[in-house]
Amino acid sequence: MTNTFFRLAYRGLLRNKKRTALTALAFIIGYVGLLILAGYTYRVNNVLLNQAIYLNMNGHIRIQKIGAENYWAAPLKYLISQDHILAIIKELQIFDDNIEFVGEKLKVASQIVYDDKTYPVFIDGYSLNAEKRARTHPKLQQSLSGFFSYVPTPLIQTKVNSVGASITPELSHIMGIVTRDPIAPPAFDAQLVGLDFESNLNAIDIIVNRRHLTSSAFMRNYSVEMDIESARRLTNVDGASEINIFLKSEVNLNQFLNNTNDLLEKKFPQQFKAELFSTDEVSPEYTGNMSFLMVMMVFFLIIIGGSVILSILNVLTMSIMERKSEIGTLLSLGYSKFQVRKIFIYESFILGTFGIFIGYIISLFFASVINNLEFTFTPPGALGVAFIRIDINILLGFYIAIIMLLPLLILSYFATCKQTQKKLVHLLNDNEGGT
Amino acid sequence: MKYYIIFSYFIFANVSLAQVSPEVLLKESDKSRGGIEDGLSWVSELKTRENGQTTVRKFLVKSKGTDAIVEATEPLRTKGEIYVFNDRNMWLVKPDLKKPVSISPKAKLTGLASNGDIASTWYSRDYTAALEKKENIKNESHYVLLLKAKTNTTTYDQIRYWINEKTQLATKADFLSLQGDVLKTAIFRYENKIKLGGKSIPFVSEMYIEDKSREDYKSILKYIDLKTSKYKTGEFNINNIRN
Repeated sequence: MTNTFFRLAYRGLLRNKKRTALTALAFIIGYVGLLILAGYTYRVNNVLLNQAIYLNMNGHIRIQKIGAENYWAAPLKYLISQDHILAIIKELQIFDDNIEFVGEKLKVASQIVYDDKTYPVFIDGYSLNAEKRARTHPKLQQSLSGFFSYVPTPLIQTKVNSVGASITPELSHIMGIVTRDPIAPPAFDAQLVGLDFESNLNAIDIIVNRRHLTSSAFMRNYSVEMDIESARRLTNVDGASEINIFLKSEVNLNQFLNNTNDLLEKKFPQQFKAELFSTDEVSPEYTGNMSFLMVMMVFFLIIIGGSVILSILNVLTMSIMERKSEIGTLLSLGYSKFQVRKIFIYESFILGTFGIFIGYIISLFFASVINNLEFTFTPPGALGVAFIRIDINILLGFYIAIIMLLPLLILSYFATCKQTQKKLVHLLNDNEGGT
Repeated sequence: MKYYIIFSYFIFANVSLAQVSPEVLLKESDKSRGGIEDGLSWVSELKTRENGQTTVRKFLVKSKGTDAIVEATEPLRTKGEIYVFNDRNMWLVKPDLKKPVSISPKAKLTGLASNGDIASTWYSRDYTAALEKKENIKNESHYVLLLKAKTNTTTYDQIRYWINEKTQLATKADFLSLQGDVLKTAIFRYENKIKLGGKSIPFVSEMYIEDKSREDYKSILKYIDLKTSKYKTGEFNINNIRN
């Protein structure tokens, strides 16, 4: 029976080729527009997400002391001691199947001294194994590759068997060190001076042998990256400001977060909290950029989707009105109202599926053209020059198809409904009144 | 007659204020806070209370004129740290540092004490003084001076300084921000004595500093074991200390 309806629907489409082509065209244009937009948003989200997790070393989950939002006012109070770090890592072993690796971060406010001049800086001290794994993580490398001109590398070993520090090209420029190679310039000696966590003046020697970019424009004049042991020597502590957990791909983040918080509350009551990377507290750049992008995406979705739906609704209403006698004939042949509506819904479904198929191919073509043309721009606060890249995949195509197809089917149902409610005699007498 | 007396009071009061040279007052008060050309040494004990925690640091201070060497002696982990003052420049020397690191006298040393507080005081060299008014503190008349930094390498931008009219010793200081807000207040006591030009003069024995915005933040800098010493020329030179 279903086959019969499909056949009738197919014939109906072929009978009105011009109308079918116009409806399909409207659908395809809408689908391509939305898919290209979604493809760009998807790629940007992918970049920002990996930036927040791996480049900024937040991990998927961050563990801090409760109240650590006041860390800068009293760093010693909110420092996680070495004993606690070891104890937490030991407790986390029950989630070993989900965890890829764990890192520690120590944040320090200090001053860098070069050539007897002093510049204020914020230091991020990382545990080296985690930093190396995060900065070379395939997900980060893949997402940034082709999107930004900057490809991150881990901190670099120095000739004297220590790990060098890294500053931003902007800070380097402020310090009067201008080199031709903005990312891997010749090394130079400098000193970090500041108060340790017991508020006593302290200083250490460093070798600066790397440049890095931060995903926050505000930080560019002040950012120093180094190994956590050097940061500990400067602050005279052995702890960390936070523990960062990097998870395997297939882990359910919210479930893992809840489990971790339950574990922390059970083992260390009222002391520590775990947070997802995608919160304002952990990654304000990520949440801020994504909120902006989502607002734009929804705006265009409404504009493009709305225009396309209105066009299709118009074409559908006109076509169903033109086909009143056909509806009357079907009803007089014994088809129920529901079955008649079904034929028209099948028509829309065939039309939509065809449009999606063609639209997907066209979107792939457009995406490939745009990606190959390598349009560049410099977004505020981003990692240097960015390329406009569009990532289209079947899953994204499927979601957009659902967004487009569902209203189309609903619209055809309601458009047919109105006609099937009319008396048979009015439907068969197509010249009578028109409505 | 009544108006004549009032008028005369203002005339004479202004004349008596105008007769006092703030620079001379400042120079005199500096002597009792280490601002002399002779060699001196003392132990500085800095007790600090912050956030309910008390810490103690000790330094051996050697001073001659505008130069000084301050060696950290306690706690043990700070031993070997040396602060060098050459005129207006200041360095931190540590055993594990390849070369001395240039530091600002403005920066916090520990507790409420800035780097510049720990050595001798040369306010007459570093600040221009203006006489603001006279004020009675504990029934003793004081000149109130407003000191403004001559350069940006001084420990503070502005200081309101109370100098006892009779003893010419500074008894109180308000350390001010550029906008004139009080950041810290210090009270000085003079129970030490030194011989200067054959005369025994009082020398600062305690500097009590409190933070105006945080009640729980207090520091006491004690000057102990004061001695006059002879130092060789170049002993305070940063290049010699480095070697």
